[in-house]
Amino acid sequence: MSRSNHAGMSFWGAGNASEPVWPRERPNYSSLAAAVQGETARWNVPGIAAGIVQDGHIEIVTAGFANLETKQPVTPDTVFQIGSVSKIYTATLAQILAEEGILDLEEKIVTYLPDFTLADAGAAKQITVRQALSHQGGFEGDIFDDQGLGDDALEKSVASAKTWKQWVQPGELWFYNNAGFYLVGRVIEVLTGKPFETVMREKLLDPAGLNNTMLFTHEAILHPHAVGHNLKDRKGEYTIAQPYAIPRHAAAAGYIIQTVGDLLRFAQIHLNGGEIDGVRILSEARVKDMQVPQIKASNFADHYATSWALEGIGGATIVQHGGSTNGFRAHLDLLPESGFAVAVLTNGSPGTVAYDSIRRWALEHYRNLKDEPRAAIELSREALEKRVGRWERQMARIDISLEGDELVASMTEVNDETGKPVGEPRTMTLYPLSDDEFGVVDAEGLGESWMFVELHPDSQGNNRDLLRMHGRLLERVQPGSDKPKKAAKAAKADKPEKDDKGKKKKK
Amino acid sequence: MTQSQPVWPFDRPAYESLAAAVQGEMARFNVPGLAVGILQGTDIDVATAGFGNLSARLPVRDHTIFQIGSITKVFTATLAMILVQEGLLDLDTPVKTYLPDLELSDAEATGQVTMRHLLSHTSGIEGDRFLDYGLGDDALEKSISEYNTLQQWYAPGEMFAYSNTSLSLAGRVIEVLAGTSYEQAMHQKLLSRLRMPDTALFTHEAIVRDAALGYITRDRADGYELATPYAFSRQITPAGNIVSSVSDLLRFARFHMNDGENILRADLARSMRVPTPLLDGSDGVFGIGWSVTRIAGTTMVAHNGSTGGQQALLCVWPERGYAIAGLSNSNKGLEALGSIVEWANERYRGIVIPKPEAIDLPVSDMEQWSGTWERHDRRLEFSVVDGIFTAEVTNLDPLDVKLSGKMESISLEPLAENKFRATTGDMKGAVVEFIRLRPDARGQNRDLVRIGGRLAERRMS
Repeated sequence: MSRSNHAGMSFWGAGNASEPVWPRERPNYSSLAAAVQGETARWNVPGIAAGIVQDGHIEIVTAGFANLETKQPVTPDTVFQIGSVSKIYTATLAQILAEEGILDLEEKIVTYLPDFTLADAGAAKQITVRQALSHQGGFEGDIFDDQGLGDDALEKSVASAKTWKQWVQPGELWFYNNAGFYLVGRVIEVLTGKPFETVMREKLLDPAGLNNTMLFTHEAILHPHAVGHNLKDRKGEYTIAQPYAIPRHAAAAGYIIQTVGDLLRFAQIHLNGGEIDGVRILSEARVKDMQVPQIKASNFADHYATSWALEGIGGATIVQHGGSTNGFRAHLDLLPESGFAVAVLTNGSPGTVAYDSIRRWALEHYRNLKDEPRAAIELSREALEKRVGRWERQMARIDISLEGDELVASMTEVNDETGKPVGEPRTMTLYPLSDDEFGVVDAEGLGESWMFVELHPDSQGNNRDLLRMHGRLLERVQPGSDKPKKAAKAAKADKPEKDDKGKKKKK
Repeated sequence: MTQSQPVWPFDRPAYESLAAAVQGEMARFNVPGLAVGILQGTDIDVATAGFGNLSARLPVRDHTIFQIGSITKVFTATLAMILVQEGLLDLDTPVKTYLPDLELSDAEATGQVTMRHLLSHTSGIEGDRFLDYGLGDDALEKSISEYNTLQQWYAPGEMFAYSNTSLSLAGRVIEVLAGTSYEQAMHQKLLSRLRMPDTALFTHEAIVRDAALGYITRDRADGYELATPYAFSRQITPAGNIVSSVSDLLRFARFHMNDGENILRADLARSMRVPTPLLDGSDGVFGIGWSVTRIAGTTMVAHNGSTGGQQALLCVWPERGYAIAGLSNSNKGLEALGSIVEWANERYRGIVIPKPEAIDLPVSDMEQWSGTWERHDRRLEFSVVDGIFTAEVTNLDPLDVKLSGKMESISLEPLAENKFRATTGDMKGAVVEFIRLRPDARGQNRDLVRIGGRLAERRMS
């Protein structure tokens, strides 16, 4: 399961001016209702709840089904998982504690969690709360081992951090990091002496009047709730996504369940300088502080701020975040200057493409902000050959080869235990956008950019070739060189598969 | 016009089909939703009516899942029997052997209580404690570590008193012997082998299914409120947190009717249906997990379930190849289900379960029981009011916010000198039995009363 922020990056193919590779052409909808209905149908999404805030007014539109088995329709009362959009709640909660003088965002995590350590103990001592909230920790962030449902789940997860791999030093390089939010969640628990979810409810959800917002499955079951759906293709065959919930220890990174109305209410807090219905949740300075760029990003955002992703569209800076859990996709965009927000909640795996289309339509329709797709450029054969090779991370491998004059990536999911590939590889064309950045259409049909990062040397004096895609890092694996044990095992176990794949590709 | 013209209850109509009976009784008792299934040999007849979820207007369907409440106990008992079959568990070995840290309030009982006592409600351990020990895998273990604060009512095996806590303790024994959480053991060793796709133990499993919500009404005329929280806290799971459909419950009934199929040895499956003897040699009310009743030369094993807002029943007549499962999402659902079962028993199998007739009892015989009786969470004040034996029930549980301090007055009709039946209130139909221990095992004179399977003791003024 991938859980990440995700907004589509648009680009043209090389020398082809007729239609961009991404996004695919969208009808020119005349209303939000038409856009939501249209995109629900176009991408075969089970259900969507979407809404906008403009000039303090909220408009909500729903389409499709909350559950394809029971045929319960989506209504404005339906609660969806918002996945990683929850990270903005965690950061807002951290800012509330900062305002109370309990927490200092510039302080190091070890100040609050003296026992906290990573595989790289030196790095663990450096990381600040701010870095953890802006994906700058530098350690592996996809940590989803099951730590149970108990109040001690988060504590147990953070205690296991001594095994979390350090990719780069804190602050050195952006890559998406769920586990950074676990650290902040745990800091909040230690500072308040209460479970993370309790603090979230007491200090943010209740004061903000977010009454249709839940943190537990046993709360959500009592409300009209969407279930997630995984669709194999657009023919409509689906499975209801199980497990429903992400592991409890990951709550601070992605486990809010709410109505689109509540998400827009939360957005209004950030549009209104920290206030909602006359209740001050956060100071205006802290709301703005959350939107200050902290580190340059790529893939699906230009910069990351304190939990927010920043993306330039049509000359404006969009303050946004996406979410992806099992069978749910969600997105929230703010235009703080103009008091505008658009939120889209979906309960199907094609939801990413649909929400991206709806948000782009809304930005254009309501705010006249039109994205200019980036044009692919010509790169020398030498510049392309430089990227050929094998790149690996936990559970994934990408083989890049040159086919004719196109770079083609073949992506394989790998079982870390056995080192064996899982399922069929997916192949994608890489469209050069600059010397080191390439446009691709990802597994969910969404445009994003892949970034090659050469650290020659990195802060530790080593020469490393990294590939950053989907917010994750992969490292080039050189045949015969020193590499992680698991990677070596994986490469070895896979010799025959490599040949198979070579044959398949000729088709 | 008389002001208090009775509009309720009408007599049960003579329904022509299960569908009519389920529709009719749903309406007559104003239950939001019902699902009833009947198994005869290999034939299954299922009828559903009403809504599983009132606000979402989701109809009850064949695979709608409901909370089965205490029917879970039969699942727990069956799982224990699988551990017996695997050679991991002996029903008559003190559970202290498996849980060396176990400490009950009574040291002697601590060393005596066996799995058989726990699964047949004869352990003597105070049966109701619904505290919250969190959602973690350690919830059961944590709750058991505080069992030394539960009253020991009698020596293990001495008599019957319904005990939720005993089933949680049995669940903990299962965890230790299986080396997994209780829920994992249930899935691996029983549910997956029986292929029961609609049966689950956790809310995160229920939420992706067509799950009915529970509803509560004080009175049928009042309308319904959503029952919250959805489930019991996790340490209660072995006693009452399973959710299931009628088709899955009938699958489970068939498994027992077929003497365990190839999953549980026939002698072990059959032994669950034998009443557990008490210390004095008489038959207990329960076998292993099942309540056991002999009716007209044949055996009925059964269990009811009742959670906040959902009620269920399962009755199996193994010798007749007949079973009935009923699910409802109301705190009054058992009245409707009971009536449907009565109708079905007669209609399909010609079975009429005799109801004991009320007798005439002199007021002086009733008055011998007058006075105040208590257990940790209830006070019962018995008296004769206008010639009618009456109980005033007060909830003493300070943790039960909804019910704390609530009083209810129950009218009772005599069935014997020491036996009465509630004719009004939430406990309607419940048997009240006075027990005079003279002297008990500890050499004290004690007067006990058992109401709804729970004991209370006469408070000496």
